Amino acid sequence: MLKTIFSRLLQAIPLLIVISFLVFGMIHLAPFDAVDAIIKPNMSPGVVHVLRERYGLDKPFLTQYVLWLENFVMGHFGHSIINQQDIGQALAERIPNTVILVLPAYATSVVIATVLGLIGGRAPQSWAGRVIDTVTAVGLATPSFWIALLLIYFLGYAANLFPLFGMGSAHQPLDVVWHMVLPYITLVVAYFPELARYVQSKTIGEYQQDYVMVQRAFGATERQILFHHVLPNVLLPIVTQIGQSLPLLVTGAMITETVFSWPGVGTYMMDASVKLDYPVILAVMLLSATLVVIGNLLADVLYTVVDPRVRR
Amino acid sequence: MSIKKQLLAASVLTTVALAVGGSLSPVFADSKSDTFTYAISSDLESTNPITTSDRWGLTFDNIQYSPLFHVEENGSLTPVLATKDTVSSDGKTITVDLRQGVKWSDGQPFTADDVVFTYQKLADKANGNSDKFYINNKPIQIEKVNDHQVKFILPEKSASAVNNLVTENFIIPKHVYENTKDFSGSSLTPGNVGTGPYTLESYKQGQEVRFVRNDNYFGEKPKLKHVVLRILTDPNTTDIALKKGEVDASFVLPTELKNLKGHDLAVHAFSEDRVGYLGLNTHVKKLANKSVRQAIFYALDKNEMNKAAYLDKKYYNTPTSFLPPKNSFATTDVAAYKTNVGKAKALLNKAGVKNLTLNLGYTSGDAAQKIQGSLIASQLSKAGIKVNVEAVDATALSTAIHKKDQTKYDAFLNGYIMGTDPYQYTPLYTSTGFANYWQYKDPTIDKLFTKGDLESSASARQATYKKLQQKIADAAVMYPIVDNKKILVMNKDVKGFSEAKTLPVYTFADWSKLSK
Repeated sequence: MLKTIFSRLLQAIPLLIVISFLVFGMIHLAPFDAVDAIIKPNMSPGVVHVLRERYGLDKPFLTQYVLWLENFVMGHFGHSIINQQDIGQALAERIPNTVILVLPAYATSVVIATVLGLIGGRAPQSWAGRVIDTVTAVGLATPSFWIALLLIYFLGYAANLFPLFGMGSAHQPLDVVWHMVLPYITLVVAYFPELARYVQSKTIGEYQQDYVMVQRAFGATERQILFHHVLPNVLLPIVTQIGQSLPLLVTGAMITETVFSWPGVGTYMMDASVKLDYPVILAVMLLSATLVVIGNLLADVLYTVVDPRVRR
Repeated sequence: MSIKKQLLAASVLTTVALAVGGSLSPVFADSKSDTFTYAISSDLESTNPITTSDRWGLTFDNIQYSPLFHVEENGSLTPVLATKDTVSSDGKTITVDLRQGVKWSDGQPFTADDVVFTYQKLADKANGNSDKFYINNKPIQIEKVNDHQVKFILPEKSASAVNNLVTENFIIPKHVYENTKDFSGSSLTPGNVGTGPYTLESYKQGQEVRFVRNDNYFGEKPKLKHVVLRILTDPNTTDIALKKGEVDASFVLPTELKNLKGHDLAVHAFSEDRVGYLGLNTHVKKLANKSVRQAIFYALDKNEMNKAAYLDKKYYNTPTSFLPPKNSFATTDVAAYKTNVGKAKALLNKAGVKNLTLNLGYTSGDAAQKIQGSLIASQLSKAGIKVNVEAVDATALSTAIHKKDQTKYDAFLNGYIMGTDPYQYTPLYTSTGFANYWQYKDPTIDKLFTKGDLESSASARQATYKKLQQKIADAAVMYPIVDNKKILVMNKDVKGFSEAKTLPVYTFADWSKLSK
């Protein structure tokens, strides 16, 4: 088992290098660079050259890439070109902010999605099934920034219950929770419909299986069928889903964070992308890619835990 | 549990959560009466006065540090750390008297040494902000005369130098940074010793910059305890935060004002001496002919554009020359290109141009430019000119038009804030100017710029720069559209607006005057 995990991680390294090269290449294809984003019309070419030189942007593409890679391998995430802030430090500050927002929201979504998916899947034609179907369809079609704006307007402004932006003072946990409510609801609404649909379709599929009919024939109650037989089979693929959603912890709330000015990785990445601050973009992209790899691995490992058949 | 019961439980829980949330509001709300919270649209690029060139970075500098002089909208100087400036008769030496009894926020005295130290760092080419400390590649020298007087020695006479040198350079404390090696970064450590009304208390990147009153401030004691710059990137959030009073002030667009009406908010509009324009690229063949460019200008109607984009005359001035209309050198006695489609057609005919098509770039996300772009397309179509309007990322567009010999855009919408002295516009209009986006070269224009800068008498400068404005207007490379005002929406509880004085780029000249 450990050997498998280790070899899978090793295999991921070339993949990550390829990803970093692709991202770096794409940034390079843009018609401007990070220094262009900060120059003003009254800066002379000499001054612009000093800036370009300082960030190594005057060097050829491959040299820039190799230099960056060398630093990265040595554990230096580098500095932002726009404000020279240490990226490792910035991420260390921001990742926890995103995690405390995304994790509860995702966990809640999984619970809601499982409950709704099971109810909807057991009797898709019933009124409850149809309501759930409609709700998830609407949820899927609604952009999260709009939900965020509605919440800001109605709960934050009109009803004046919650603050509109920021995450409050880190020294007062209750203050942070209070600031979290609106972005949290936004994320739950953004995450759960897709998961609910997934659970629902799995549930419908399971109910069509022969074993359900056999159970009914043997006189099992609906409750027994649902909880003892259908649910475990439905949960199995959900485990994979949860594993694969690991990168959400870093980049799962970009839009929501921006609307609420939540100081997480999302706002950081958005800002860097607009200004082509490539060291920041690369660091976040690689982090996210690493989490995809780890997430998939985790899903596979969890799968063997919950389903003994796979172990054999 | 049945579904009904579950739903009931869920709704009870939600209600409880909302009620708790609501009752917490007053507990955590900032003590608002002693804090001025200003919503800004993006994070600061730099908090180091030696390298700052972005709007919010400069705003920071002006809160924590002080310049020798501030420059008013009309070009006159208001002393801050200085008391007066004297220019020698040959125009090559500027002596500046410094205010006495000023202390840094850490209690140390402010002296001429600090000024000399700061200017030496500013003029260091390695710090990347040194342009204005050189005249024709020769450095301007600064010397300490005594503890309260410094002297700038210019290598050549320059009338614009005074304005350039003594304004908007923020003095940093020598005793704190004496041993600092590198001043090229975006921040200084420690970053909280200044002579301004407030000093930095905490800076959370991407969130807020919090200042606390500087008890050693040389002016009247700052009225509020705190000033906070709150970074809010989403304008929708900003609008609601203004209405709710979570922030006290912010810049808004004229189109947002309707939404904000009747919410205890005061609206102040002030000019930043900006010129928003349509630029033409004379490097593309079809626009090399002056008559063609003039024809385009005659077909345009800036009044229609401004009414559509800025709604009310309160929110804009209309420029005629390349200088902003409130500039003391600005004249309206230039070719103004009053809308005349017949004349436009005649000029095109005379030039033998048919089926002219222009490729116009503007900044995507800029609401005003979007309106201008579509109106330009419809106005020019009346003269038989077709316009392909293209929305481009802000930096991509400025980089494209900055490129020498570019032919990607025939025309572009853009704007500049260059300052009060006409000489500060040289990068845009001289043959070798590095922001000569129109790629237009005319030795007469170069000469007039230099001549104006060498003249000592105000009236002679006025006359020279009038000629210059006429010359540039005749060249028809840049169609001035608007000097759009900045619209500051402010909580009515905030007092001291007129004493704090609005200032282009910096919002307020003196933040100590704001109170509640």
